[in-house]
Amino acid sequence: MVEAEQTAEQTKVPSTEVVDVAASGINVVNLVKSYKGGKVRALDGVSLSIKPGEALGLVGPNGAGKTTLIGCMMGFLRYQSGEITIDGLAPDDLVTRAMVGYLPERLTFDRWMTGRDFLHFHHELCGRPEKLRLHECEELLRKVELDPAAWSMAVRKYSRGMLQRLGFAQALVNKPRYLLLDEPASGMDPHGVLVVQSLLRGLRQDGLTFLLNSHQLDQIERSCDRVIFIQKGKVVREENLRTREESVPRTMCISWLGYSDEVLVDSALVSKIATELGATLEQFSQTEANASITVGSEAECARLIKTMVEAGIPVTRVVPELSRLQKAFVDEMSKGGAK
Amino acid sequence: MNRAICVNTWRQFKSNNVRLILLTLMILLPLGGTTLMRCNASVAVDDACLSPPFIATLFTLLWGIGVIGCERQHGTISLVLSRPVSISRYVFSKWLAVSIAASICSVQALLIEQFVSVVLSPSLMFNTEFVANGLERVLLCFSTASVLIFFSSLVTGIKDLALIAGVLFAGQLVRSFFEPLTYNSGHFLGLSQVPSFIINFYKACADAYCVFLYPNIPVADILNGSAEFFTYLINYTCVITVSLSMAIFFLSRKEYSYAHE
Repeated sequence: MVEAEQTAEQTKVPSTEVVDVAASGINVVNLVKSYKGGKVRALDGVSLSIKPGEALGLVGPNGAGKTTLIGCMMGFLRYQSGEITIDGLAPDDLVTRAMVGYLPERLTFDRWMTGRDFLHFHHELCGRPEKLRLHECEELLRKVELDPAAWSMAVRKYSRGMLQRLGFAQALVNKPRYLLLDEPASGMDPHGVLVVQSLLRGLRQDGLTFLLNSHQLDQIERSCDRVIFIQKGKVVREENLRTREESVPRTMCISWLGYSDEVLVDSALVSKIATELGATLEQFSQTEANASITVGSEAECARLIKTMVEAGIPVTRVVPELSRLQKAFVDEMSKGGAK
Repeated sequence: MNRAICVNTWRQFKSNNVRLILLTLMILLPLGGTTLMRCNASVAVDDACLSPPFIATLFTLLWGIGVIGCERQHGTISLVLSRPVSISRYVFSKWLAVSIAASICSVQALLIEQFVSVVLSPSLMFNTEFVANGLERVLLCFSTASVLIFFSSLVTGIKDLALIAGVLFAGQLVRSFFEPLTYNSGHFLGLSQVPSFIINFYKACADAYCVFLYPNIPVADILNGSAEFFTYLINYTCVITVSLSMAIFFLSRKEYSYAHE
């Protein structure tokens, strides 16, 4: 608390501890943003809200307007109409900026700086207390798992993944309440992607509110409570990822032991079992010992597996061909294409 | 003023080898010139041969070219402005950073020249010209820096240098066109007389142009009583205020991206 007061004092902004509950969170209402004198509409009446403590995913094809939306939320881009409020304040308000962390997709750095210098610079810009600078910055660099040997290295020698880690650290340097992340794992190696996932999990546990724009649907599915699909500047779909979808048809890939002597698993047998339960056999592969079967609900899927096991098929694995989010994305893209 | 932005601006300069080499040359060349002149027997003993205060403009140019434009070009400005730093504070900090650095360099160059003069001619120890020159340099650094900040806020990279060159060139063109009127009793190329209000308007514009591009306070002349202090002070303050206000205005109207522009 004392630390928060010191920060507010240093940044010459009022304390952000007291927030009007009704106005809290991020609210975007009918946002319209166009380029080239109105010829290109990047955002066409986008409305969304993020409650405090909520993690919202942003999904859409390239050029859908996701980065433009984040640019508007940061106050970098001017919009033609609509409103954005963060805790009831305008996005370019200094109080708002003190409580928002931001990670752009491709962060640009002063290339002569070292990683540590860069973080110290932003720590000072945020008005964080000087006596905490060294400790907080090192803690962040450790948190993003940036190799300590690179801390004192010029940023120009950093790899893409190292830059992204440093960028993530700068987004957290002001101890933000809200975080806007634009492709946080872009350009990272598999280990880096895992680090980002672990960081996002930690942020959720800490109750941080964040908006995650990512093309990695599994990352969004793991980290977010809700996801919004944007296409051609409009919100076309919204999915709550924390509710179970019990009666949605889904294609499952079912694998079994290929060398079982108990029963001969052929397409006729699998097709018969599937048809009896109202499911549809889409694809069968004897050599790979798997089949794709579309089931109408989770209960039907459970019955199918039970029947297959009872029929002597040694089932080893059942996975959906597309994750829930992938399926929703494919559905939306196909709708968009049809339009 | 934001200390972090100021220090970062100085460190940006330090990281640029070309600018460092130019800075060294700008200190050494006038010093070499002064030393040679002092060694020349034809120079009076009481003449310090100090380089003119105008050199402070060159130091400011060296420090200030692209001071905002480069940050815009590289996209680093957007990350700075994503912090609780207002555009006016950013501009003010950049102005102070350039002004202070250029002042230190130009006064340092003057001190070295004065030192050489005193070594060669000890009677110049209490030279008032030296104090006036130094003061004028500092004032010139602060005003020129504000004009540079204005130009730098208009364009990206170091295109502000080209912009300044363009403005100077355009000024010369206009001058070569209108100047004959002022000493030819209003007759242009021997033809009919040009209305006096056009000549007066030209003179006013020319004055404003000169004040804007060379906003100095001639301290030596003021001390001699040959120049009016308040007129210069008002012009000087106006140039700084207007330049910085315009820079804030133009930067506020821009949209920022975090990539290279």
